[in-house]
Amino acid sequence: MNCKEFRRTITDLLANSAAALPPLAAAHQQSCASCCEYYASETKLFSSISTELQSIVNAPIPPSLVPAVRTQLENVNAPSLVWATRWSFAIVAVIAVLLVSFAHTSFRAPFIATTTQTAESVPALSLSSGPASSPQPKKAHHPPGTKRELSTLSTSHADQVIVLPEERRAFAEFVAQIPQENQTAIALTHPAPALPDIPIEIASLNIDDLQWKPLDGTATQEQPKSTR
Amino acid sequence: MQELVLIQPGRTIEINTARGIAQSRLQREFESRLEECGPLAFRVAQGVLRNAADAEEVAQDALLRAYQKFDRLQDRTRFRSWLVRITFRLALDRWRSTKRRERRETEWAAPDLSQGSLSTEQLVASNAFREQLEKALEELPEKFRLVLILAAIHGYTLEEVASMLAVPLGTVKSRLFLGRKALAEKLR
Repeated sequence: MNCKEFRRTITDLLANSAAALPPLAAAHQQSCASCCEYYASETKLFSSISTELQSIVNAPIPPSLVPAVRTQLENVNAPSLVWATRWSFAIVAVIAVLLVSFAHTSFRAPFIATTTQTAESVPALSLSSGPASSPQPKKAHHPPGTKRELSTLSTSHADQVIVLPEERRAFAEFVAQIPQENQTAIALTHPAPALPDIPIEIASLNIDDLQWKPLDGTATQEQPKSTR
Repeated sequence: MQELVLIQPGRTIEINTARGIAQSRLQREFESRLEECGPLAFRVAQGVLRNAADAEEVAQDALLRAYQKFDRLQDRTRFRSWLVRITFRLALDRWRSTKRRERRETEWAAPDLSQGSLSTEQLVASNAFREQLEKALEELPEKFRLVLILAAIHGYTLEEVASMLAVPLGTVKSRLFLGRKALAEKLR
Protein backbone atom coordinates (compact mmCIF):
# COMPACT_ATOMS: atom_id res chain seq x y z
CA MET A 1 0.00 0.00 0.00
CA ASN A 2 1.41 3.36 -0.96
CA CYS A 3 0.75 6.69 0.75
CA LYS A 4 -1.96 7.76 -1.71
CA GLU A 5 -3.93 4.57 -1.20
CA PHE A 6 -3.43 4.78 2.54
CA ARG A 7 -4.79 8.32 2.72
CA ARG A 8 -7.81 7.45 0.62
CA THR A 9 -8.49 4.43 2.80
CA ILE A 10 -8.10 6.47 5.95
CA THR A 11 -10.52 9.14 4.76
CA ASP A 12 -13.12 6.55 3.79
CA LEU A 13 -12.74 4.74 7.08
CA LEU A 14 -13.11 7.86 9.17
CA ALA A 15 -16.01 9.16 7.09
CA ASN A 16 -17.66 5.82 7.67
CA SER A 17 -17.02 6.09 11.42
CA ALA A 18 -14.99 2.90 11.37
CA ALA A 19 -12.73 2.45 14.35
CA ALA A 20 -10.15 -0.12 13.40
CA LEU A 21 -7.63 0.13 10.61
CA PRO A 22 -7.31 -2.74 8.15
CA PRO A 23 -4.04 -4.69 8.54
CA LEU A 24 -2.45 -3.34 5.38
CA ALA A 25 -3.18 0.24 6.35
CA ALA A 26 -1.94 -0.37 9.88
CA ALA A 27 1.32 -1.76 8.52
CA HIS A 28 1.80 1.25 6.27
CA GLN A 29 1.07 3.62 9.11
CA GLN A 30 3.82 2.09 11.21
CA SER A 31 6.32 2.33 8.40
CA CYS A 32 5.48 5.87 7.14
CA ALA A 33 5.85 8.81 9.50
CA SER A 34 4.03 11.35 7.31
CA CYS A 35 1.08 9.00 6.91
CA CYS A 36 1.06 8.46 10.65
CA GLU A 37 0.85 12.21 11.10
CA TYR A 38 -1.83 12.43 8.44
CA TYR A 39 -3.83 9.75 10.17
CA ALA A 40 -3.67 11.63 13.46
CA SER A 41 -4.76 14.90 11.87
CA GLU A 42 -7.61 13.26 9.96
CA THR A 43 -8.82 11.50 13.08
CA LYS A 44 -8.83 14.80 14.87
CA LEU A 45 -10.64 16.50 12.01
CA PHE A 46 -13.42 13.93 11.82
CA SER A 47 -13.86 13.78 15.56
CA SER A 48 -14.01 17.57 15.65
CA ILE A 49 -16.67 17.53 12.96
CA SER A 50 -18.74 15.06 14.95
CA THR A 51 -18.25 16.95 18.19
CA GLU A 52 -19.13 20.30 16.70
CA LEU A 53 -22.18 18.92 14.91
CA GLN A 54 -23.41 17.36 18.12
CA SER A 55 -22.81 20.54 20.06
CA ILE A 56 -24.73 22.52 17.47
CA VAL A 57 -27.67 20.16 17.26
CA ASN A 58 -27.94 19.15 20.90
CA ALA A 59 -28.29 22.62 22.23
CA PRO A 60 -30.36 22.85 25.40
CA ILE A 61 -34.07 22.84 24.70
CA PRO A 62 -35.69 26.11 25.69
CA PRO A 63 -38.07 25.38 28.56
CA SER A 64 -40.67 27.66 27.03
CA LEU A 65 -40.97 25.63 23.84
CA VAL A 66 -43.59 23.05 24.75
CA PRO A 67 -45.68 25.29 27.03
CA ALA A 68 -45.73 27.98 24.35
CA VAL A 69 -46.95 25.49 21.77
CA ARG A 70 -49.59 24.21 24.18
CA THR A 71 -50.82 27.73 24.75
CA GLN A 72 -50.99 28.41 21.05
CA LEU A 73 -52.85 25.18 20.39
CA GLU A 74 -55.81 26.63 22.25
CA ASN A 75 -55.91 29.67 20.02
CA VAL A 76 -55.33 27.88 16.75
CA ASN A 77 -58.38 26.59 14.93
CA ALA A 78 -58.82 22.91 15.34
CA PRO A 79 -58.22 20.88 12.18
CA SER A 80 -61.80 19.74 11.85
CA LEU A 81 -63.11 23.26 12.31
CA VAL A 82 -60.69 24.55 9.71
CA TRP A 83 -62.02 22.07 7.21
CA ALA A 84 -65.60 22.85 8.17
CA THR A 85 -64.93 26.54 7.58
CA ARG A 86 -63.40 25.83 4.21
CA TRP A 87 -66.30 23.62 3.15
CA SER A 88 -68.87 26.14 4.28
CA PHE A 89 -67.05 28.84 2.37
CA ALA A 90 -67.02 26.68 -0.76
CA ILE A 91 -70.73 25.92 -0.43
CA VAL A 92 -71.59 29.59 0.05
CA ALA A 93 -69.50 30.49 -3.00
CA VAL A 94 -71.26 27.89 -5.17
CA ILE A 95 -74.68 29.09 -4.01
CA ALA A 96 -73.74 32.68 -4.77
CA VAL A 97 -72.59 31.77 -8.28
CA LEU A 98 -75.82 29.87 -8.90
CA LEU A 99 -77.92 32.78 -7.66
CA VAL A 100 -76.09 35.25 -9.86
CA SER A 101 -76.46 33.08 -12.95
CA PHE A 102 -80.16 32.50 -12.20
CA ALA A 103 -80.77 36.21 -11.71
CA HIS A 104 -78.96 36.98 -14.94
CA THR A 105 -81.05 34.46 -16.87
CA SER A 106 -84.34 35.62 -15.36
CA PHE A 107 -83.48 39.24 -16.13
CA ARG A 108 -82.74 38.54 -19.75
CA ALA A 109 -85.87 36.48 -20.49
CA PRO A 110 -88.59 39.13 -19.83
CA PHE A 111 -86.42 41.77 -21.37
CA ILE A 112 -86.22 39.92 -24.67
CA ALA A 113 -89.93 39.12 -24.53
CA THR A 114 -90.87 42.79 -23.99
CA THR A 115 -88.64 43.89 -26.80
CA THR A 116 -90.13 41.38 -29.18
CA GLN A 117 -93.61 42.47 -28.18
CA THR A 118 -92.75 46.10 -28.83
CA ALA A 119 -91.32 45.27 -32.20
CA GLU A 120 -94.44 43.34 -33.13
CA SER A 121 -96.80 46.12 -31.99
CA VAL A 122 -95.23 48.72 -34.23
CA PRO A 123 -97.02 47.60 -37.44
CA ALA A 124 -100.37 47.86 -35.65
CA LEU A 125 -99.76 51.54 -35.12
CA SER A 126 -98.72 52.11 -38.68
CA LEU A 127 -100.42 54.55 -41.01
CA SER A 128 -103.64 54.00 -42.82
CA SER A 129 -102.22 55.09 -46.13
CA GLY A 130 -99.78 52.81 -47.76
CA PRO A 131 -99.00 49.18 -47.04
CA ALA A 132 -97.88 48.22 -43.60
CA SER A 133 -94.28 47.42 -43.54
CA SER A 134 -92.07 46.01 -40.90
CA PRO A 135 -90.41 48.70 -38.87
CA GLN A 136 -86.81 49.37 -39.57
CA PRO A 137 -84.51 49.22 -36.61
CA LYS A 138 -84.22 52.72 -35.38
CA LYS A 139 -80.87 53.98 -34.32
CA ALA A 140 -81.47 55.13 -30.80
CA HIS A 141 -80.16 58.31 -29.39
CA HIS A 142 -78.06 57.64 -26.34
CA PRO A 143 -77.78 60.30 -23.72
CA PRO A 144 -74.18 60.95 -22.75
CA GLY A 145 -72.91 58.59 -20.13
CA THR A 146 -75.48 55.93 -20.83
CA LYS A 147 -73.94 52.56 -21.13
CA ARG A 148 -75.30 50.72 -24.09
CA GLU A 149 -76.10 47.19 -23.16
CA LEU A 150 -77.94 44.34 -24.76
CA SER A 151 -78.59 46.38 -27.88
CA THR A 152 -76.93 44.02 -30.25
CA LEU A 153 -78.96 42.52 -33.00
CA SER A 154 -78.99 38.80 -32.77
CA THR A 155 -77.92 37.13 -35.94
CA SER A 156 -80.22 34.20 -35.38
CA HIS A 157 -83.21 36.45 -34.65
CA ALA A 158 -82.84 39.19 -37.23
CA ASP A 159 -86.36 40.55 -36.65
CA GLN A 160 -85.76 41.13 -32.95
CA VAL A 161 -84.17 44.27 -31.68
CA ILE A 162 -83.01 44.44 -28.11
CA VAL A 163 -83.11 47.97 -26.79
CA LEU A 164 -82.79 49.70 -23.47
CA PRO A 165 -85.96 50.65 -21.53
CA GLU A 166 -85.54 54.36 -22.20
CA GLU A 167 -85.09 53.63 -25.86
CA ARG A 168 -88.29 51.63 -25.83
CA ARG A 169 -90.19 54.50 -24.21
CA ALA A 170 -88.82 57.01 -26.69
CA PHE A 171 -89.71 54.74 -29.57
CA ALA A 172 -93.27 54.27 -28.25
CA GLU A 173 -93.73 58.04 -28.00
CA PHE A 174 -92.43 58.43 -31.48
CA VAL A 175 -94.85 55.78 -32.81
CA ALA A 176 -97.75 57.40 -30.98
CA GLN A 177 -97.08 60.70 -32.74
CA ILE A 178 -96.87 59.16 -36.17
CA PRO A 179 -100.61 59.42 -37.06
CA GLN A 180 -100.53 63.17 -36.43
CA GLU A 181 -97.77 63.80 -38.89
CA ASN A 182 -98.84 61.92 -41.92
CA GLN A 183 -96.20 62.98 -44.38
CA THR A 184 -93.38 62.30 -41.97
CA ALA A 185 -94.79 58.91 -41.22
CA ILE A 186 -95.05 58.03 -44.85
CA ALA A 187 -91.51 59.19 -45.44
CA LEU A 188 -90.23 57.18 -42.53
CA THR A 189 -92.15 53.98 -42.96
CA HIS A 190 -92.01 53.66 -46.71
CA PRO A 191 -88.84 52.43 -48.22
CA ALA A 192 -87.17 54.74 -50.63
CA PRO A 193 -88.13 54.04 -54.27
CA ALA A 194 -85.58 52.02 -56.02
CA LEU A 195 -84.14 54.07 -58.83
CA PRO A 196 -82.62 52.36 -61.80
CA ASP A 197 -78.99 52.97 -62.34
CA ILE A 198 -78.71 55.41 -65.21
CA PRO A 199 -75.27 55.88 -66.59
CA ILE A 200 -74.19 59.48 -66.46
CA GLU A 201 -72.28 60.85 -69.35
CA ILE A 202 -69.98 63.70 -68.69
CA ALA A 203 -69.13 65.74 -71.70
CA SER A 204 -67.52 69.06 -72.15
CA LEU A 205 -69.72 72.02 -72.85
CA ASN A 206 -68.89 73.95 -75.98
CA ILE A 207 -70.25 77.40 -76.49
CA ASP A 208 -69.17 78.69 -79.81
CA ASP A 209 -70.87 81.99 -79.95
CA LEU A 210 -72.09 84.01 -77.05
CA GLN A 211 -73.83 87.25 -77.66
CA TRP A 212 -74.40 89.82 -75.04
CA LYS A 213 -77.31 92.14 -75.48
CA PRO A 214 -77.67 95.11 -73.23
CA LEU A 215 -80.91 95.56 -71.50
CA ASP A 216 -83.00 98.49 -72.27
CA GLY A 217 -81.61 101.68 -70.81
CA THR A 218 -78.19 100.23 -69.90
CA ALA A 219 -75.06 100.29 -71.92
CA THR A 220 -72.09 98.02 -71.29
CA GLN A 221 -68.59 97.88 -72.64
CA GLU A 222 -68.13 94.17 -72.12
CA GLN A 223 -66.87 92.13 -74.90
CA PRO A 224 -68.11 88.69 -75.74
CA LYS A 225 -66.35 85.79 -73.99
CA SER A 226 -66.04 82.23 -74.91
CA THR A 227 -66.33 79.73 -72.14
CA ARG A 228 -65.03 76.35 -72.44
CA MET B 1 -94.22 8.77 -1.88
CA GLN B 2 -92.17 11.52 -0.42
CA GLU B 3 -90.33 10.73 2.75
CA LEU B 4 -90.56 13.21 5.54
CA VAL B 5 -87.53 13.87 7.69
CA LEU B 6 -87.94 15.07 11.21
CA ILE B 7 -85.41 17.72 12.06
CA GLN B 8 -84.56 17.65 15.70
CA PRO B 9 -83.66 20.97 17.29
CA GLY B 10 -80.99 19.37 19.45
CA ARG B 11 -79.22 17.86 16.49
CA THR B 12 -76.88 20.81 15.96
CA ILE B 13 -75.87 20.72 19.57
CA GLU B 14 -75.11 17.02 19.25
CA ILE B 15 -72.99 17.61 16.18
CA ASN B 16 -71.10 20.40 17.89
CA THR B 17 -70.58 18.26 20.93
CA ALA B 18 -69.26 15.39 18.83
CA ARG B 19 -66.99 17.76 17.01
CA GLY B 20 -65.73 19.17 20.26
CA ILE B 21 -65.03 15.68 21.58
CA ALA B 22 -63.16 14.74 18.42
CA GLN B 23 -61.20 17.93 18.58
CA SER B 24 -60.21 17.46 22.19
CA ARG B 25 -59.22 13.86 21.44
CA LEU B 26 -57.10 15.09 18.56
CA GLN B 27 -55.53 17.72 20.76
CA ARG B 28 -54.76 15.18 23.48
CA GLU B 29 -53.17 12.87 20.94
CA PHE B 30 -51.09 15.69 19.55
CA GLU B 31 -50.02 16.87 22.98
CA SER B 32 -48.89 13.37 23.88
CA ARG B 33 -46.51 13.55 20.94
CA LEU B 34 -45.44 17.06 21.77
CA GLU B 35 -43.17 16.04 24.63
CA GLU B 36 -41.07 13.88 22.36
CA CYS B 37 -41.41 15.71 19.06
CA GLY B 38 -41.06 19.26 20.32
CA PRO B 39 -37.37 18.83 21.15
CA LEU B 40 -36.83 16.95 17.90
CA ALA B 41 -38.28 19.83 15.91
CA PHE B 42 -36.16 22.28 17.86
CA ARG B 43 -32.98 20.31 17.21
CA VAL B 44 -33.62 19.99 13.51
CA ALA B 45 -34.23 23.72 13.32
CA GLN B 46 -31.17 24.38 15.46
CA GLY B 47 -29.05 22.21 13.17
CA VAL B 48 -30.01 24.39 10.24
CA LEU B 49 -30.17 27.80 11.87
CA ARG B 50 -27.65 27.45 14.72
CA ASN B 51 -29.53 30.08 16.65
CA ALA B 52 -31.64 29.03 19.60
CA ALA B 53 -34.18 31.86 19.37
CA ASP B 54 -34.78 31.37 15.66
CA ALA B 55 -34.87 27.61 16.10
CA GLU B 56 -37.48 27.89 18.82
CA GLU B 57 -39.68 30.08 16.66
CA VAL B 58 -39.37 27.73 13.72
CA ALA B 59 -40.07 24.71 15.90
CA GLN B 60 -43.20 26.34 17.28
CA ASP B 61 -44.35 27.26 13.83
CA ALA B 62 -43.73 23.75 12.57
CA LEU B 63 -45.59 22.20 15.49
CA LEU B 64 -48.58 24.45 14.99
CA ARG B 65 -48.68 23.68 11.29
CA ALA B 66 -48.45 20.01 12.06
CA TYR B 67 -51.33 20.35 14.50
CA GLN B 68 -53.50 22.16 11.98
CA LYS B 69 -53.07 19.34 9.50
CA PHE B 70 -52.87 16.56 12.01
CA ASP B 71 -56.21 15.07 11.00
CA ARG B 72 -54.99 14.66 7.44
CA LEU B 73 -52.14 12.43 8.55
CA GLN B 74 -53.62 8.97 8.15
CA ASP B 75 -50.59 6.99 9.31
CA ARG B 76 -49.87 8.49 12.71
CA THR B 77 -46.74 6.39 13.09
CA ARG B 78 -45.11 8.63 10.52
CA PHE B 79 -45.68 11.75 12.52
CA ARG B 80 -42.04 12.21 13.43
CA SER B 81 -40.92 11.94 9.82
CA TRP B 82 -43.63 14.37 8.78
CA LEU B 83 -42.70 16.86 11.48
CA VAL B 84 -39.00 16.62 10.66
CA ARG B 85 -39.70 17.47 7.05
CA ILE B 86 -41.94 20.40 7.93
CA THR B 87 -39.38 21.74 10.37
CA PHE B 88 -36.48 21.28 7.98
CA ARG B 89 -38.31 23.14 5.21
CA LEU B 90 -39.32 25.98 7.49
CA ALA B 91 -35.82 26.23 8.92
CA LEU B 92 -34.31 26.36 5.46
CA ASP B 93 -36.71 29.12 4.48
CA ARG B 94 -35.83 31.07 7.59
CA TRP B 95 -32.12 30.51 7.04
CA ARG B 96 -32.33 31.74 3.45
CA SER B 97 -34.21 34.87 4.40
CA THR B 98 -31.75 35.54 7.22
CA LYS B 99 -28.85 35.11 4.81
CA ARG B 100 -30.39 37.50 2.34
CA ARG B 101 -30.90 40.07 5.05
CA GLU B 102 -27.35 39.67 6.34
CA ARG B 103 -25.97 39.95 2.84
CA ARG B 104 -27.85 43.19 2.31
CA GLU B 105 -26.74 44.63 5.63
CA THR B 106 -23.09 43.68 5.47
CA GLU B 107 -22.50 43.93 1.76
CA TRP B 108 -19.83 46.53 2.25
CA ALA B 109 -17.83 44.52 4.79
CA ALA B 110 -17.50 40.88 3.89
CA PRO B 111 -16.30 38.86 6.86
CA ASP B 112 -12.96 37.24 6.32
CA LEU B 113 -13.55 33.59 7.06
CA SER B 114 -10.89 32.22 4.79
CA GLN B 115 -8.05 30.96 6.86
CA GLY B 116 -6.40 28.80 4.27
CA SER B 117 -2.98 29.37 5.72
CA LEU B 118 -3.92 27.53 8.92
CA SER B 119 -3.35 23.84 9.23
CA THR B 120 -6.08 21.43 10.30
CA GLU B 121 -4.76 21.30 13.87
CA GLN B 122 -4.71 25.06 14.13
CA LEU B 123 -8.21 25.23 12.71
CA VAL B 124 -9.48 22.75 15.24
CA ALA B 125 -7.81 24.66 17.99
CA SER B 126 -9.12 28.00 16.88
CA ASN B 127 -12.62 29.35 17.26
CA ALA B 128 -12.84 29.72 13.52
CA PHE B 129 -13.32 26.01 13.15
CA ARG B 130 -16.97 26.20 14.06
CA GLU B 131 -17.57 28.99 11.58
CA GLN B 132 -15.80 26.99 8.91
CA LEU B 133 -17.85 23.96 9.75
CA GLU B 134 -21.10 25.91 9.62
CA LYS B 135 -20.13 27.40 6.27
CA ALA B 136 -19.23 23.97 4.92
CA LEU B 137 -22.48 22.58 6.26
CA GLU B 138 -24.46 25.25 4.46
CA GLU B 139 -22.84 24.32 1.20
CA LEU B 140 -23.82 20.69 1.48
CA PRO B 141 -26.79 19.31 -0.43
CA GLU B 142 -29.95 19.34 1.67
CA LYS B 143 -30.34 15.59 1.86
CA PHE B 144 -26.81 15.16 3.27
CA ARG B 145 -27.35 18.03 5.63
CA LEU B 146 -30.54 16.62 7.06
CA VAL B 147 -28.99 13.20 7.61
CA LEU B 148 -25.97 14.74 9.33
CA ILE B 149 -28.21 16.77 11.61
CA LEU B 150 -30.47 13.88 12.52
CA ALA B 151 -27.57 11.51 13.07
CA ALA B 152 -25.94 14.01 15.37
CA ILE B 153 -28.99 14.28 17.62
CA HIS B 154 -28.46 12.30 20.82
CA GLY B 155 -30.73 9.37 21.32
CA TYR B 156 -31.54 8.53 17.73
CA THR B 157 -30.00 5.55 16.02
CA LEU B 158 -29.41 5.34 12.30
CA GLU B 159 -32.37 2.98 12.02
CA GLU B 160 -34.59 5.62 13.59
CA VAL B 161 -33.17 8.24 11.27
CA ALA B 162 -33.96 5.96 8.35
CA SER B 163 -37.52 5.52 9.55
CA MET B 164 -37.86 9.28 10.07
CA LEU B 165 -36.78 9.97 6.54
CA ALA B 166 -38.63 6.96 5.14
CA VAL B 167 -35.52 5.77 3.35
CA PRO B 168 -33.55 2.52 3.67
CA LEU B 169 -30.80 2.26 6.27
CA GLY B 170 -28.19 1.89 3.54
CA THR B 171 -29.24 5.21 2.05
CA VAL B 172 -28.82 6.90 5.41
CA LYS B 173 -25.37 5.38 5.83
CA SER B 174 -24.23 6.37 2.37
CA ARG B 175 -25.54 9.91 2.80
CA LEU B 176 -23.81 10.16 6.14
CA PHE B 177 -20.56 8.89 4.66
CA LEU B 178 -20.68 11.25 1.69
CA GLY B 179 -21.72 14.17 3.88
CA ARG B 180 -18.89 13.66 6.35
CA LYS B 181 -16.39 13.21 3.56
CA ALA B 182 -17.55 16.37 1.84
CA LEU B 183 -17.33 18.28 5.09
CA ALA B 184 -13.80 17.04 5.69
CA GLU B 185 -12.75 18.02 2.21
CA LYS B 186 -14.09 21.51 2.67
CA LEU B 187 -12.39 21.87 6.06
CA ARG B 188 -9.07 20.36 5.14
